[in-house]
Amino acid sequence: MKDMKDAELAALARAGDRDAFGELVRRHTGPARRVARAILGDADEADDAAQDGFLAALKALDRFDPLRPFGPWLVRIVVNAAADRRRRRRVRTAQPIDDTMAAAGPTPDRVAERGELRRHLLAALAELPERQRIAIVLFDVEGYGHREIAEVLRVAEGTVRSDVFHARRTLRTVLAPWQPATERIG
Amino acid sequence: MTSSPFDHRPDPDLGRDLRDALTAPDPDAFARRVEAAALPLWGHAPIPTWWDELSLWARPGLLAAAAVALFAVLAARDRPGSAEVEPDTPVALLATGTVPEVGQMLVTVWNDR
Repeated sequence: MKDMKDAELAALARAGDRDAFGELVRRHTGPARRVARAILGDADEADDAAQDGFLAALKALDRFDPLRPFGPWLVRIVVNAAADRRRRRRVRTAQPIDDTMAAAGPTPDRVAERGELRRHLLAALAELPERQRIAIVLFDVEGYGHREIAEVLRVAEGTVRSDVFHARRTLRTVLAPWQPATERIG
Repeated sequence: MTSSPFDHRPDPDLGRDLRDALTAPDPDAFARRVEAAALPLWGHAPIPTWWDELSLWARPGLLAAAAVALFAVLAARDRPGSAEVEPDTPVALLATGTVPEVGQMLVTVWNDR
Protein backbone atom coordinates (compact mmCIF):
# COMPACT_ATOMS: atom_id res chain seq x y z
CA MET A 1 0.00 0.00 0.00
CA LYS A 2 2.96 2.31 0.60
CA ASP A 3 3.87 2.03 -3.09
CA MET A 4 0.44 3.06 -4.31
CA LYS A 5 -0.33 6.47 -5.71
CA ASP A 6 -2.57 8.87 -3.85
CA ALA A 7 -5.30 8.54 -6.47
CA GLU A 8 -5.30 4.75 -6.09
CA LEU A 9 -5.51 5.04 -2.31
CA ALA A 10 -8.31 7.57 -2.64
CA ALA A 11 -10.26 5.19 -4.86
CA LEU A 12 -9.80 2.37 -2.36
CA ALA A 13 -10.77 4.60 0.56
CA ARG A 14 -13.85 5.71 -1.32
CA ALA A 15 -14.82 2.05 -1.72
CA GLY A 16 -14.54 1.57 2.04
CA ASP A 17 -10.90 0.56 2.52
CA ARG A 18 -9.89 1.98 5.91
CA ASP A 19 -6.23 1.06 5.51
CA ALA A 20 -6.06 3.11 2.32
CA PHE A 21 -7.50 6.09 4.12
CA GLY A 22 -5.01 5.57 6.95
CA GLU A 23 -2.14 5.60 4.47
CA LEU A 24 -3.43 8.85 2.94
CA VAL A 25 -3.61 10.40 6.41
CA ARG A 26 -0.04 9.36 7.22
CA ARG A 27 1.26 10.73 3.94
CA HIS A 28 -0.39 14.13 4.28
CA THR A 29 -0.34 14.64 8.05
CA GLY A 30 2.65 17.00 7.95
CA PRO A 31 1.37 19.56 5.42
CA ALA A 32 -2.17 19.44 6.80
CA ARG A 33 -1.06 20.15 10.38
CA ARG A 34 1.42 22.84 9.34
CA VAL A 35 -1.07 24.74 7.20
CA ALA A 36 -3.68 24.54 9.94
CA ARG A 37 -1.10 25.74 12.45
CA ALA A 38 -0.17 28.66 10.21
CA ILE A 39 -3.81 29.71 10.07
CA LEU A 40 -4.78 29.16 13.70
CA GLY A 41 -1.57 29.59 15.66
CA ASP A 42 -2.59 27.26 18.45
CA ALA A 43 -1.20 23.74 18.00
CA ASP A 44 -4.11 21.86 19.57
CA GLU A 45 -6.68 23.83 17.65
CA ALA A 46 -4.67 23.27 14.48
CA ASP A 47 -4.74 19.52 15.05
CA ASP A 48 -8.50 19.67 15.52
CA ALA A 49 -8.81 21.60 12.26
CA ALA A 50 -6.51 19.21 10.41
CA GLN A 51 -8.59 16.32 11.66
CA ASP A 52 -11.77 18.10 10.54
CA GLY A 53 -10.16 18.46 7.15
CA PHE A 54 -9.27 14.79 6.84
CA LEU A 55 -12.77 13.72 7.84
CA ALA A 56 -14.34 16.21 5.43
CA ALA A 57 -12.07 14.88 2.70
CA LEU A 58 -13.16 11.32 3.47
CA LYS A 59 -16.80 12.35 3.08
CA ALA A 60 -16.00 14.18 -0.16
CA LEU A 61 -13.82 11.54 -1.81
CA ASP A 62 -16.40 11.02 -4.54
CA ARG A 63 -15.73 14.59 -5.64
CA PHE A 64 -11.95 14.14 -5.87
CA ASP A 65 -10.66 14.17 -9.44
CA PRO A 66 -8.05 11.37 -9.65
CA LEU A 67 -6.38 13.11 -12.57
CA ARG A 68 -5.35 15.96 -10.28
CA PRO A 69 -2.94 15.83 -7.31
CA PHE A 70 -4.46 14.81 -3.99
CA GLY A 71 -2.32 17.09 -1.80
CA PRO A 72 -3.62 20.49 -2.95
CA TRP A 73 -7.18 19.14 -2.93
CA LEU A 74 -6.77 18.06 0.68
CA VAL A 75 -4.98 21.25 1.70
CA ARG A 76 -7.84 23.29 0.28
CA ILE A 77 -10.24 21.37 2.55
CA VAL A 78 -7.95 21.79 5.56
CA VAL A 79 -7.69 25.54 4.88
CA ASN A 80 -11.48 25.76 4.87
CA ALA A 81 -11.74 23.73 8.07
CA ALA A 82 -9.16 25.92 9.82
CA ALA A 83 -10.82 29.11 8.58
CA ASP A 84 -14.15 27.86 9.93
CA ARG A 85 -12.58 27.29 13.32
CA ARG A 86 -10.94 30.72 13.28
CA ARG A 87 -14.27 32.35 12.51
CA ARG A 88 -15.96 30.45 15.33
CA ARG A 89 -13.49 31.32 18.05
CA ARG A 90 -13.83 34.63 19.86
CA VAL A 91 -10.33 35.41 21.01
CA ARG A 92 -7.22 35.24 18.90
CA THR A 93 -4.67 33.11 20.72
CA ALA A 94 -1.52 34.23 18.91
CA GLN A 95 0.74 36.57 20.86
CA PRO A 96 1.85 39.87 19.31
CA ILE A 97 5.50 40.39 18.53
CA ASP A 98 7.50 41.76 21.43
CA ASP A 99 9.91 44.32 19.91
CA THR A 100 12.15 44.54 22.98
CA MET A 101 12.62 40.79 22.99
CA ALA A 102 13.48 40.69 19.31
CA ALA A 103 16.08 43.44 19.72
CA ALA A 104 17.72 41.88 22.75
CA GLY A 105 19.61 39.29 20.76
CA PRO A 106 20.11 35.66 21.66
CA THR A 107 22.78 34.70 24.13
CA PRO A 108 21.56 31.47 25.81
CA ASP A 109 22.44 27.99 24.69
CA ARG A 110 21.45 26.53 21.37
CA VAL A 111 18.29 24.79 22.55
CA ALA A 112 16.99 27.95 24.10
CA GLU A 113 17.86 29.87 20.95
CA ARG A 114 15.94 27.44 18.84
CA GLY A 115 12.93 27.78 21.13
CA GLU A 116 13.12 31.56 21.02
CA LEU A 117 13.49 31.59 17.27
CA ARG A 118 10.48 29.31 16.91
CA ARG A 119 8.42 31.50 19.20
CA HIS A 120 9.34 34.67 17.33
CA LEU A 121 8.74 33.10 13.97
CA LEU A 122 5.28 31.90 15.00
CA ALA A 123 4.47 35.32 16.41
CA ALA A 124 5.64 37.02 13.23
CA LEU A 125 3.67 34.57 11.14
CA ALA A 126 0.55 35.29 13.18
CA GLU A 127 0.89 38.96 12.34
CA LEU A 128 0.71 38.30 8.60
CA PRO A 129 -2.58 38.35 6.72
CA GLU A 130 -3.98 34.83 6.55
CA ARG A 131 -3.55 34.45 2.80
CA GLN A 132 0.13 35.43 3.04
CA ARG A 133 0.63 32.89 5.83
CA ILE A 134 -0.84 30.07 3.77
CA ALA A 135 1.03 31.15 0.65
CA ILE A 136 4.47 31.27 2.24
CA VAL A 137 4.02 27.98 4.08
CA LEU A 138 2.87 26.22 0.94
CA PHE A 139 5.65 27.79 -1.16
CA ASP A 140 8.69 27.73 1.13
CA VAL A 141 7.82 24.77 3.35
CA GLU A 142 5.69 22.42 1.29
CA GLY A 143 7.28 23.16 -2.07
CA TYR A 144 4.06 24.00 -3.91
CA GLY A 145 4.24 26.02 -7.10
CA HIS A 146 2.55 29.38 -7.52
CA ARG A 147 -0.13 27.85 -9.72
CA GLU A 148 -0.98 25.13 -7.19
CA ILE A 149 -1.19 27.69 -4.40
CA ALA A 150 -3.40 29.88 -6.57
CA GLU A 151 -5.77 26.95 -7.00
CA VAL A 152 -5.80 26.23 -3.28
CA LEU A 153 -6.47 29.85 -2.40
CA ARG A 154 -8.73 30.52 -5.40
CA VAL A 155 -6.79 33.65 -6.35
CA ALA A 156 -4.71 34.73 -9.34
CA GLU A 157 -1.16 33.43 -9.67
CA GLY A 158 0.16 37.00 -9.52
CA THR A 159 -1.58 37.46 -6.19
CA VAL A 160 0.26 34.44 -4.83
CA ARG A 161 3.61 35.84 -6.00
CA SER A 162 2.82 39.10 -4.28
CA ASP A 163 1.72 37.33 -1.09
CA VAL A 164 4.90 35.24 -0.94
CA PHE A 165 7.05 38.31 -1.57
CA HIS A 166 5.41 40.40 1.15
CA ALA A 167 5.35 37.54 3.65
CA ARG A 168 9.05 36.87 3.11
CA ARG A 169 9.94 40.51 3.50
CA THR A 170 8.03 40.76 6.78
CA LEU A 171 9.41 37.54 8.22
CA ARG A 172 13.00 38.35 7.25
CA THR A 173 12.72 41.76 8.89
CA VAL A 174 11.43 40.24 12.08
CA LEU A 175 14.04 37.49 12.05
CA ALA A 176 17.00 39.71 11.15
CA PRO A 177 18.26 39.97 14.76
CA TRP A 178 18.15 36.17 14.93
CA GLN A 179 20.05 35.58 11.74
CA PRO A 180 23.27 34.39 13.45
CA ALA A 181 21.29 31.91 15.47
CA THR A 182 19.37 30.83 12.39
CA GLU A 183 22.59 30.08 10.59
CA ARG A 184 23.87 27.94 13.42
CA ILE A 185 20.65 25.95 13.73
CA GLY A 186 20.53 23.26 11.16
CA MET B 1 18.95 36.15 0.47
CA THR B 2 17.25 38.87 -1.57
CA SER B 3 13.75 38.38 -2.87
CA SER B 4 11.46 39.73 -5.51
CA PRO B 5 7.87 38.98 -6.59
CA PHE B 6 9.39 37.27 -9.61
CA ASP B 7 11.44 34.85 -7.52
CA HIS B 8 10.30 31.33 -8.44
CA ARG B 9 12.57 29.51 -6.01
CA PRO B 10 11.71 28.54 -2.45
CA ASP B 11 13.88 30.06 0.28
CA PRO B 12 15.50 27.01 1.92
CA ASP B 13 16.55 28.83 5.11
CA LEU B 14 13.18 30.39 5.76
CA GLY B 15 11.47 27.17 4.72
CA ARG B 16 13.54 25.14 7.19
CA ASP B 17 12.85 27.54 10.05
CA LEU B 18 9.13 27.67 9.27
CA ARG B 19 8.96 23.89 9.03
CA ASP B 20 10.73 23.57 12.35
CA ALA B 21 8.35 26.05 13.97
CA LEU B 22 5.14 24.65 12.51
CA THR B 23 5.73 20.90 12.63
CA ALA B 24 3.87 19.32 15.51
CA PRO B 25 5.27 16.27 17.29
CA ASP B 26 4.20 12.64 16.96
CA PRO B 27 2.61 12.41 13.51
CA ASP B 28 1.81 8.72 14.02
CA ALA B 29 -0.31 9.46 17.08
CA PHE B 30 -2.14 12.14 15.13
CA ALA B 31 -2.79 9.73 12.24
CA ARG B 32 -4.18 7.15 14.67
CA ARG B 33 -6.40 9.82 16.19
CA VAL B 34 -7.81 10.75 12.76
CA GLU B 35 -8.40 7.11 11.87
CA ALA B 36 -10.26 6.59 15.15
CA ALA B 37 -12.36 9.70 14.55
CA ALA B 38 -13.22 8.40 11.08
CA LEU B 39 -14.64 5.12 12.38
CA PRO B 40 -18.23 6.40 12.71
CA LEU B 41 -18.09 7.70 9.15
CA TRP B 42 -17.49 4.25 7.71
CA GLY B 43 -20.87 3.26 9.18
CA HIS B 44 -22.63 5.60 6.78
CA ALA B 45 -21.51 3.66 3.77
CA PRO B 46 -21.16 0.02 4.82
CA ILE B 47 -20.24 -2.62 2.33
CA PRO B 48 -23.57 -4.51 1.97
CA THR B 49 -23.71 -8.12 3.13
CA TRP B 50 -25.70 -10.86 1.38
CA TRP B 51 -28.41 -10.41 4.01
CA ASP B 52 -28.62 -6.68 3.23
CA GLU B 53 -28.99 -7.54 -0.43
CA LEU B 54 -31.77 -10.03 0.33
CA SER B 55 -33.63 -7.51 2.44
CA LEU B 56 -33.35 -4.98 -0.38
CA TRP B 57 -34.99 -7.47 -2.69
CA ALA B 58 -37.67 -8.64 -0.24
CA ARG B 59 -40.06 -5.71 -0.47
CA PRO B 60 -40.26 -5.43 -4.27
CA GLY B 61 -40.46 -9.24 -4.37
CA LEU B 62 -43.49 -9.24 -2.11
CA LEU B 63 -45.12 -6.51 -4.17
CA ALA B 64 -44.51 -8.47 -7.34
CA ALA B 65 -45.98 -11.64 -5.80
CA ALA B 66 -49.04 -9.71 -4.69
CA ALA B 67 -49.48 -8.24 -8.16
CA VAL B 68 -49.23 -11.69 -9.77
CA ALA B 69 -51.72 -13.13 -7.29
CA LEU B 70 -54.14 -10.32 -7.91
CA PHE B 71 -53.83 -10.74 -11.66
CA ALA B 72 -54.50 -14.45 -11.29
CA VAL B 73 -57.63 -13.82 -9.23
CA LEU B 74 -58.96 -11.31 -11.74
CA ALA B 75 -58.20 -13.60 -14.67
CA ALA B 76 -60.01 -16.50 -13.01
CA ARG B 77 -62.98 -14.28 -12.31
CA ASP B 78 -63.27 -13.17 -15.94
CA ARG B 79 -63.24 -16.73 -17.32
CA PRO B 80 -66.50 -17.96 -18.97
CA GLY B 81 -68.73 -19.64 -16.45
CA SER B 82 -67.34 -17.79 -13.56
CA ALA B 83 -69.88 -14.98 -13.67
CA GLU B 84 -71.89 -16.55 -10.89
CA VAL B 85 -68.92 -16.44 -8.62
CA GLU B 86 -69.34 -13.93 -5.88
CA PRO B 87 -66.85 -11.05 -5.89
CA ASP B 88 -64.11 -12.10 -3.58
CA THR B 89 -62.35 -10.00 -1.05
CA PRO B 90 -59.36 -8.87 -3.17
CA VAL B 91 -61.72 -7.50 -5.80
CA ALA B 92 -63.72 -5.83 -3.07
CA LEU B 93 -60.56 -4.29 -1.74
CA LEU B 94 -59.73 -2.93 -5.16
CA ALA B 95 -63.21 -1.53 -5.49
CA THR B 96 -62.60 0.73 -2.52
CA GLY B 97 -60.31 2.87 -4.66
CA THR B 98 -57.52 2.82 -2.10
CA VAL B 99 -54.26 0.93 -2.41
CA PRO B 100 -54.64 -2.27 -0.40
CA GLU B 101 -51.96 -3.24 2.08
CA VAL B 102 -49.72 -5.94 0.68
CA GLY B 103 -49.90 -8.14 3.76
CA GLN B 104 -53.66 -8.02 3.89
CA MET B 105 -53.84 -8.84 0.19
CA LEU B 106 -51.55 -11.84 0.54
CA VAL B 107 -53.53 -13.25 3.47
CA THR B 108 -56.72 -12.87 1.53
CA VAL B 109 -55.37 -14.54 -1.57
CA TRP B 110 -53.91 -17.34 0.48
CA ASN B 111 -57.23 -17.92 2.27
CA ASP B 112 -59.12 -17.98 -1.02
CA ARG B 113 -57.06 -20.87 -2.41
